[in-house]
Amino acid sequence: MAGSLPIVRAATGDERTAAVRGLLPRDFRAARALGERYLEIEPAERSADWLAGELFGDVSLLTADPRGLDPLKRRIRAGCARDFRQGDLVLLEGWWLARTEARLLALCAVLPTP
Amino acid sequence: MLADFREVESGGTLEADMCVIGAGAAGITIASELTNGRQSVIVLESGGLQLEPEVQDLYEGTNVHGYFSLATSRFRLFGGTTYAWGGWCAPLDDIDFQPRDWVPHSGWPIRKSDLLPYYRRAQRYCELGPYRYEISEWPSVAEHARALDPTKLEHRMWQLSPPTRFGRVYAGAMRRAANVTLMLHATAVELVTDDSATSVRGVRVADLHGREATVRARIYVLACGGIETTRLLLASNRVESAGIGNRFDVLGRYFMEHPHPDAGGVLLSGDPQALRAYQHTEVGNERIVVGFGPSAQAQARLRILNSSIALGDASHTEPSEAWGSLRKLSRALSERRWPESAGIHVINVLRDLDDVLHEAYLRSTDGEVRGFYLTARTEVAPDPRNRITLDHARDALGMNRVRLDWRVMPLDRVSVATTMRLLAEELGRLGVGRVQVTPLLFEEDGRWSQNLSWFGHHMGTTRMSSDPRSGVVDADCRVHGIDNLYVASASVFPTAGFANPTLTILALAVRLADYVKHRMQNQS
Repeated sequence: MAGSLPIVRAATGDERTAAVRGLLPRDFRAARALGERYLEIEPAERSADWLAGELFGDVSLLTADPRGLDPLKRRIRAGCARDFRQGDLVLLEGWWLARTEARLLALCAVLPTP
Repeated sequence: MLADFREVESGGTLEADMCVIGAGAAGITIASELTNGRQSVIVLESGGLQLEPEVQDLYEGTNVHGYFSLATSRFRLFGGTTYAWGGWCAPLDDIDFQPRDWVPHSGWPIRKSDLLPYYRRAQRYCELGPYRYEISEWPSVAEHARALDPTKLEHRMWQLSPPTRFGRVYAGAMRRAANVTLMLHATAVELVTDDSATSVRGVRVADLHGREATVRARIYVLACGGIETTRLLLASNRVESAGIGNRFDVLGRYFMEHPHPDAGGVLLSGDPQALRAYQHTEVGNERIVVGFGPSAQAQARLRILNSSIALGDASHTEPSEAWGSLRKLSRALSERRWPESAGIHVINVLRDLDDVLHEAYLRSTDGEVRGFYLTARTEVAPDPRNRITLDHARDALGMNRVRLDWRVMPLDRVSVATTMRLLAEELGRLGVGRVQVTPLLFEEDGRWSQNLSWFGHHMGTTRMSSDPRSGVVDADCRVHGIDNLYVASASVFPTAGFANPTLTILALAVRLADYVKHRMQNQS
């Protein structure tokens, strides 16, 4: 797994959570529950740093500013499109999700609750 | 002309050039093709012009593993099961006719191209427009369709019949046909062969009032459906103890149906019109449905059966099991059939009442569409263990009732689950939305079978093969070893494809009518 990432270190726990929430579906509680389900299937991925690295790569700043999220959203969308094209899907609670979005939900689950 | 067996003198003999047993969609089509010809035709129909409980009771039998009732999944009256037909028409795919190494016992002795001219002619019997089953032939719909990855999914297309109630639509033509006699209330109870069982010499006919007669003809066509055709062959065991056409123990085997599971749903990502091409569409006077199915490439690569997925009702919340159950119950009521699992559906509705009420409220207030339910229809793997035999119990005419012993197989369920995954990949890639699958698709087969709807697609028990050791009829639908006996029914299907069977039944019936007409003309 990847080591710690500057994007996660750059913000406080609350800021990180708020920023990730900007990328997630509206129902944060449901997202965390789905994320927990994913981590039950892939327990080795239960690491905020590793998940953030997989999801955001070398993006150097994760901030609560909504305008700063656009590059990350584009990256997530591209990751999802690639997963769907390649058939890299995960079944969570009956929903077939792209692995990228499942990891985003997992990140949500391992971050502190606001 | 119309006649009633109750007015025929008992003990007599009726004669015609050709005898068609059964006046459902297949029998009526064959008779229509021969109307105004030089050959006389008698069509024997067990029922009357209306449904009669005591006649319908002749269909009672045992379905060992439940699934559906033998008495309510088909109808015994003039017009047959088109009495409750939904009207969905589609031809089989090319791949359905081919032998597939991952589907044991697959392959027809004919190709789709052999059947294509007859498919085109069959359209009119269902009151359909021209044969157009490629989405590109419907430009106003195609422009809204999604560009699917052909290595995964293909479009499926149905043309919807009004639906044609054959008994109502074709009664006038039967009355007017000078060379065709439709004999109502005449139940064929035995085919009588010569001593070597190589030729049929007559049909023993009876009614519920003790009347009996014999019908003699040069050619006999069995057109009494996927179960009753086989029952009559098995019951005609006076010379051949295992029944006619059963020298190799194939008769009655390979029964197939189309399981229709509520497969799950799709939640739209944004655009509520993203799937508009896949909703029921009216184009001029015609109605069509476009759906999805695994491409031939995907079927071969993933070693799955053919199947289809079509949008069901719009959903205003996330798809719920309870709402699916409510839909099944309401569909059953409208189609005059109660599913065997009706009790389970009621429990689901009660257990999840809040969701159902919420959904019902949103529907009544025309809330925003968030998605659609998805209904699958899958081919089943032909298996010789799935079979019809005669039971010890007898009906009011003394015929052995049938016993159907069949069950859905793991590959049937896996094929639907795999197709749903392909759909999830494609709708995700296209940005349409996310697919939810019913958990029952991942359950063991016994529990999955409770999630299925059935629509009377009884197929496969007199399967077509050029080899009598693996089939009951040959490529011309003639019973192997019998020179004057033919079958016009879905019972001749060696495999089922995803397509609703009626159009293929009619295409085979038109083809058979041409064949026997030519044969009778040559003989005379």
